Amino acid sequence: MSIPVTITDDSMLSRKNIRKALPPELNAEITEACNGQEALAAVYSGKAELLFLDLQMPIMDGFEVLAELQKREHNTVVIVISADIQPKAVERVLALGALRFLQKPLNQQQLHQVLLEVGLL
Amino acid sequence: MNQHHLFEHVVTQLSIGACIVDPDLNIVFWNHFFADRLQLQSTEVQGKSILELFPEQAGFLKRKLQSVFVLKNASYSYWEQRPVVFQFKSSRPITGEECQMFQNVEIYPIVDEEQQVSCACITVHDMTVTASYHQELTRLTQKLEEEKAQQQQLIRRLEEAQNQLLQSEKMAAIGQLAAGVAHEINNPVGFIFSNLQTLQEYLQKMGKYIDLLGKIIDKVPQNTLHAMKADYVQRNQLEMVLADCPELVAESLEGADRVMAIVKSLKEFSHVDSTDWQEADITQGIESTLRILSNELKYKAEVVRHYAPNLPHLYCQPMQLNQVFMNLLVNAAQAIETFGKIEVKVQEVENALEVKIQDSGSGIAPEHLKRIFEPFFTTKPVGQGTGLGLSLSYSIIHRHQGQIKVTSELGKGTCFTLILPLLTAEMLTDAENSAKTDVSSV
Amino acid sequence: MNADVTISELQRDALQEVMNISMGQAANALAQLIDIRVILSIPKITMTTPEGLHTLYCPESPHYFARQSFMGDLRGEVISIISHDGCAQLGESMEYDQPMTANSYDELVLELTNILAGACLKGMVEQMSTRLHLAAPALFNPQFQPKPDYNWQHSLTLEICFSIENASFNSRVVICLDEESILVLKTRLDTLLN
Repeated sequence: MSIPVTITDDSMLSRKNIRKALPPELNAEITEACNGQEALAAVYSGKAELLFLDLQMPIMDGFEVLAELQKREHNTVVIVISADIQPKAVERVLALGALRFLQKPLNQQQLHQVLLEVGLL
Repeated sequence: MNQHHLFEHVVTQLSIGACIVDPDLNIVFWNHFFADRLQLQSTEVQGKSILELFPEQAGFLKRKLQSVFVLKNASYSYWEQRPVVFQFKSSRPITGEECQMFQNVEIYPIVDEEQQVSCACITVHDMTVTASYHQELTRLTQKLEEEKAQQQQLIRRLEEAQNQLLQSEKMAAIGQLAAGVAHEINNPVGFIFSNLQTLQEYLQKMGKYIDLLGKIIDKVPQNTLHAMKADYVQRNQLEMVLADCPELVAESLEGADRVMAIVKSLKEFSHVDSTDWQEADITQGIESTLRILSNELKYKAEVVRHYAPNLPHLYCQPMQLNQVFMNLLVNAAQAIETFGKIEVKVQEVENALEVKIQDSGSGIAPEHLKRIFEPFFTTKPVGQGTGLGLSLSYSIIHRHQGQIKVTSELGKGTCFTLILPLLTAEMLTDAENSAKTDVSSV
Repeated sequence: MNADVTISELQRDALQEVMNISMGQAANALAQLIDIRVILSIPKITMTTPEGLHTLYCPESPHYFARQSFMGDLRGEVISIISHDGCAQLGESMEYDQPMTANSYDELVLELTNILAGACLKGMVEQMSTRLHLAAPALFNPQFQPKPDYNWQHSLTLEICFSIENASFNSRVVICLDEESILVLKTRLDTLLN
């Protein structure tokens, strides 16, 4: 059974890295989004049971996406992956409803651990 | 030799200090550089806090080491900003002029297999030689700058002296010329004058004689004689001739008189007379000059005097100084158009007498101020004044080793200040002698 | 250099990401060391010519200049341009001996340069498996330097602005790579992309 996963980041390299880091047993059906708007579109069309979200993006950033998602009912698991890991940012993101925060560059083992913790694996 | 021995060898041979600390800032190892200077072997200090061993720089060391452990990057310190980190004595205790070692300190992170910073290595480089050279260079540069500044000053003074010398040479040359010319002119003008005076007398006599003859002829009852006389008088315009003669002679006399006055000024200008020197009260000289000028001054200005009490007598040439006073007072009066004020102040200053003559006249234009002491410089129309008065005064004051200065404001007035040093006879002859040697050595 | 020193869109994208991550890590590291919050901008990647570089040397307000060389797989220099404004505050925050002297300010500029250069380059080292060795930083005054015989035409520069909260501290760190290094960099970026 495959799980719809959306990877949101304005950097192609970053999206590639996240894609590579996903464990194969997740059986992910991957959609890529370049900004917040595309990410929301993916969520609303059911393509994001698991959403990887970058924070710094043009048009609509990660914080705005989280704020939008909070307004509606959804069952998307949001994992924020960002370069900016200062404590204030982490706090803010978790308060806005993200389940986890991971630091770039993505560590495969860390990702595996988190997926186990949230029950997706 | 295995790698371990190789590295150990290298570390012991290196002439830089190496000290390794753990994340708690306790010493793990240090090399001979530290050991020799503190007389403490590495084994003796293992486990001790580096902050305790170097308390003066503890704050600095803590900050730098923290940055290395947190950021995992090297940190540096230079002798230019912080000459001494570790209080070691100079490595040149005999020949070196410094007391302590100048240091560059570098701190490197030592990373283990898990990419964690296990230790930090502090290296100390002895920069004393470089620092010494640098400081010496700085000192020399500074000294050069100072010398340069002094030289600039000297050059300026030399230029000034040269200008003054040129000026006084010019004046001297003109003086000589003036003296020569004056002398040559004096004789002929002298006898022109005296001849004219005689001629004046003779003309008067002849005039009276002609008059008498005319009257006698008139009394003779002979018409032909009368007619001859009338005819002659008319044809030769004798009436006009007789009327004009006295005026002609008088004007000629005036002219001759003027020439003689100019000659007199010129002679005085170049005259060096050392027999007039004596102690005198210059306020008396000023007063006598004012008396002579009283007629001229009373219609032009109110004269106000401020003489300080108990003024000392001045060793000087009184006649010459009086000429200066006359010159300045006449100038002052001439500068006033209708009626004004002339102030004369005399006071004692450091080893000298200061005389100020201030008028409320029309003032001197700034572009002329520089030139007023030049011989023959005058702003008066041709025929009035010789243009020699102030240059003569300058010369006289200079002979008294004094100074003459002028300040002026157009429309407000002019002030001449004379500084006359209180001289003695010896000082005067000394000065004259040294002036002679100066000239000869140039 | 005849070889092509231009970087493609993809390569630029990859480099931007590498630098973004480096900056995130640098900012975090700095926050641990300095009490004040330092704000690091997103690095601006440009190709520069010698004339372009010269404009760096003429900021409007007084600034300190320092430079630090690095070599290894990539070769170049980091130039830091640090505004006078705000240094006093930073010095206090970093626990420099008060009151600060001219020497303290010099030390501060050198330390800041070293910290920022180290932090920025570290990210590149870790993510692109490059070896880099930073030399010691040095102060310099572009006004008093003899104008160098620029023997390069292009340099890749990565410009990072950093400021402090509540202070008009406006400074920049510019990482300049030489022409050969640009080629090496392109190879590394291609490896990342594949």
